[in-house]
Amino acid sequence: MQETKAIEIKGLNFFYSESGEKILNNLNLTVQNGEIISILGSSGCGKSTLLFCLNGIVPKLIKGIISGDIQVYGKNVNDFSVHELSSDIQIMFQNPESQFFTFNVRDEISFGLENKGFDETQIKQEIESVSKLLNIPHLLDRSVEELSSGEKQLVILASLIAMRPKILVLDEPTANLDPIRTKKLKEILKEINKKYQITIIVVEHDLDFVDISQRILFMKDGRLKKYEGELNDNYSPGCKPKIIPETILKIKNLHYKYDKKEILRGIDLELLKGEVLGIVGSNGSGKSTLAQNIMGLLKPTEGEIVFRGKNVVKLPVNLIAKSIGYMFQNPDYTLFENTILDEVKFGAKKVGLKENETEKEALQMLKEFGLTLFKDTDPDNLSIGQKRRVNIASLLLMKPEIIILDEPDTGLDRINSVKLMELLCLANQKELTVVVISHNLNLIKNLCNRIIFIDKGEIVDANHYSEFLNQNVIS
Amino acid sequence: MSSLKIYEYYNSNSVMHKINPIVKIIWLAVFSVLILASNNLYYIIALLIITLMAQTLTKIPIRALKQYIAYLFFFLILSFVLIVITRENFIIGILFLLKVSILIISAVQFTLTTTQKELLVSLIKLKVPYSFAFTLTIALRFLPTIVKEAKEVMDAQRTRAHKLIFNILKPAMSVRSYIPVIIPLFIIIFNRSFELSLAAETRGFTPKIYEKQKLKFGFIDFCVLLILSCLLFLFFRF
Repeated sequence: MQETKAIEIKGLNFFYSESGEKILNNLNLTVQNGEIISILGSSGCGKSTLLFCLNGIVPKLIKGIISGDIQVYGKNVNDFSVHELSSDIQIMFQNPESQFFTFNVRDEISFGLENKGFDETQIKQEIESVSKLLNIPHLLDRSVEELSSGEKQLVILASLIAMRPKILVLDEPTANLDPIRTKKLKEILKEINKKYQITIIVVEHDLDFVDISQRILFMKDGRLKKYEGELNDNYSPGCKPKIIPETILKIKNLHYKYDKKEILRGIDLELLKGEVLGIVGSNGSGKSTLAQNIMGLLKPTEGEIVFRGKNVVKLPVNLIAKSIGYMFQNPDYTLFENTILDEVKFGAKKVGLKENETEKEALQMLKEFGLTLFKDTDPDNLSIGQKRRVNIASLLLMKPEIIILDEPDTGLDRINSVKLMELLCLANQKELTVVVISHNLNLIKNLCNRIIFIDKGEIVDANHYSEFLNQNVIS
Repeated sequence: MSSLKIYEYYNSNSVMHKINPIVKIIWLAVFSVLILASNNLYYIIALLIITLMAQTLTKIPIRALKQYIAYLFFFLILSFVLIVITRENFIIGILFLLKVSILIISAVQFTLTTTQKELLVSLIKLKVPYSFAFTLTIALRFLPTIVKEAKEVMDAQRTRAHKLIFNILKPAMSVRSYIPVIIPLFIIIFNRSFELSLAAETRGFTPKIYEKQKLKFGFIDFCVLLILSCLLFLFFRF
């Protein structure tokens, strides 16, 4: 007889042995077979820990003290290994890059099937069927390295679905996706749920998947409850940029080619002092490439980038960095010092600011950014939101005139996104020009006085981008 | 044709692709020892001819490897000149040039003609501990990712006005300048490896499957081992 309950959790408690922090607190959950549910909650509330409890990763591979009962299709999770439970439940991690084992797409899909003991004919059939379902037959013979982030996610999804799990769990699947790709992913999930009766659990910071979910749950204080609009508070009162009518940066007919492919095609852009500019576009449209050209990390094949009347195209990055700050998407790329205070001072020292002044200003900056308590903490022990704040504080202390932030809200929950916006507004009031690259239209709309859209390496008219605008906007 | 990646399998149906991967591993190991141990110029030239013949059998277009050939050529010429100048011996320079060329070409032939799975199965069958065998095959897959991440970390530190110095004459200063790159990179790689180990478990990875896989031993493999035996005989004879 088909089990109707996919998951049943009773009185689940979990502590990390090292920190003693209680992550899950008498948590109860029942998921019916074939349901799609969304679990929302802020960063660090225990959503991912809960997911890892479902297939035994917690506590078998991630150690801690666990109590309570977890049943997956009537099986007690404690009695089975992660490997044995893989037939029932598959998890797609937030970063698809961490789940690739092979060089090419076909091998990647067959990896899990081989582990399950499928023979060659069955593997071929499964690959064909799942690639058709996800519309990726054209990717099958491609190298993993050549795929875009959206394609990588689809390939991992195909690899997981091919194993025909009864439950599919997705941990923040839209973190690296633009609204168009998010919409496509939702359509795919709806289809696989319908076709294979797979139970789907999506964990998110935001409300991206609520429209396809039959149930929405909210996680707080280690427990789950019915979602009652906790995330509906508006983003912030918005930012009123202090614009001075003085051109600070002028980009003229900028072209950039990589591997014979034209990534930027004649960008013309003027930036006024004190502006807060939002750059929006789909994955791979050329947004980050534009920013990296401005920073001198990439050299344009044609065109000019004029900062305060001087063409900076040929200047080295360390000189440009004195006037223009750039924050990478991954906050871990820069953190290496032993303490937050040293980390914040690093860039300032490099641009030649005096040690005693830097120390004083760094402490003030940490205070403004709510990081004073952590000044002697190892950066590695911070949350992603705190790491981003350290990144921005470090850049601001270098006293640039322009700051460019590449997807600053990736992986951030609503509270941290709002905090970030407030800090950027505060910095802007001190006449800093801010450029924000993001998929999050809520953030962009609230923060920026001007938004430009980039599509296939060109700035396009906002009206032509209506599809982008009409999606994912919760106001 | 876009250039190949030398650590990645090149899909083809050539004779070299059909050789049993265990035979290929034995060949590579013995061949490398012979190359390093012999100082007979004629013997080394014979090994080079065999290597080049094997290269034609792979059916891999040379032009797809031109980028690497250019690097190899540059490295070899530079090393050759240095050896000739410092050791004042032309023959030692020539021997070094030939030996390194053969070693690199043979290793690249192996990676281009052996799938990741074949390598894993062979190593497990050769009784290499499966955790080591799996790590080795995954490490190959992650090389390009690590290179990409290293570039991003370098760029990120450069945007903080940090100057990366690479100067052979100032090694201490060069190493110091790379500390802000090495530390974040290690943390990123460590986190990646941990996530990957979780992913392997959730995808049901088990060495038992690979132990059961069969590798065919055919006429070509017999011929390869025969050639290798002849080379060994010649090595000890002369």
